[in-house]
Amino acid sequence: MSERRPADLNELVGDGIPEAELAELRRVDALLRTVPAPPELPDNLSAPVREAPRPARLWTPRRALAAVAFAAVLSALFFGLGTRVGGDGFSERYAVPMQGTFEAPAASAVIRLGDPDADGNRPVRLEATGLEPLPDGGYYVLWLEKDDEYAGTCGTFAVAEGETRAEWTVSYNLADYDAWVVSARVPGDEAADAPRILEAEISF
Amino acid sequence: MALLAMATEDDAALIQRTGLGDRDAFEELYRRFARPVLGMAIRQLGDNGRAEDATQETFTAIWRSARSYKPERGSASAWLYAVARHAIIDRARQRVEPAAEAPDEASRDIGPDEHAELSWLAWRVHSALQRLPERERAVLELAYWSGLSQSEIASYLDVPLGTVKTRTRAGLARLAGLLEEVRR
Repeated sequence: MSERRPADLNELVGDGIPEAELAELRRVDALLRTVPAPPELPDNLSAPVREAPRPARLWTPRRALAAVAFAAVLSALFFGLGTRVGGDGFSERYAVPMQGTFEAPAASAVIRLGDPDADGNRPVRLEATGLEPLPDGGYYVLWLEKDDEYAGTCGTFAVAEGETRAEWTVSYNLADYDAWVVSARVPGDEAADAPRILEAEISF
Repeated sequence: MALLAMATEDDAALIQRTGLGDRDAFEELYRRFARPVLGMAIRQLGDNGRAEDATQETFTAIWRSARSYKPERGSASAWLYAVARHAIIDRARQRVEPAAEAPDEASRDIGPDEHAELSWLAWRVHSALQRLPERERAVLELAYWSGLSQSEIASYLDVPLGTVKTRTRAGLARLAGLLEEVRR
């Protein structure tokens, strides 16, 4: 912005303007002198991105198959091998706060991570508040993101009222991912991308 | 008042059409609000690169969440302002590193309430400016922020001095209508 001040209003608009109109122009003139100059858009912002990026679709057929397989492995671990998921024996190693996105600014959550067991399976507990109950058949999904794309499902959960707690076991190496994300899936909205509700960066 | 009401309705309609996947409506929203968003991001983040990222993220957020906009809960401009503010705050939280440029010095001399008020005022003025005909917007921006005199503006735009004054008067009058709510 230039150091040179703008000319007086009378000089800007000329003489012979009715007083009533001039009074109105003075108020606008004062506002323009109060606010900073609007920035020029650089070339890279001259237009919105050609395709505004949306969250990656979670349930492509291939991913759904992978999720089913993953759930089967989790079930086997949970029921067959007696992992320490759930119960009072949860041993927390890290806690990661999650922030609500603009979709749910009042929502928040904490992801509590235990130590991985000898097989590399790590207990994960999600404690969330402020999430809205979804319509029948709807559910939330906790997943891992890499390079702004879906990279792995940790589990799904539903919400009634108040605080929600859900627990799973995951075998991912968390250092390989960028962020935790919770998104919402609503029945009948299969074609739409799932909105992101909660997010947290992964940093080690 | 009528102009303000029309502007509000128009923005609301654009958001709703964007929520239905209307790309043209989204691009019109971008045309109207990209500069106000970038201005706010620069003031908050103090770094042009991060501000540009935040601007892109704001419009990504608008594209994603336009379906959730409820006109009965508030004005379109306030909703867009809130989305932008969230995106900028998210960007501010993402990395803690020295800013490439110092943030707006003036903003450090005022309290948080005044800063918020100035931010909102700048948002309204900048977005209202985007609603003006190009020839009126150009003369106002040159008159108030370029440091050029009226004669220099006339020379720069290659129009008579009287035309510059006429356009300035018309632009200010149109802005007065668009900013009715701000003046209160």
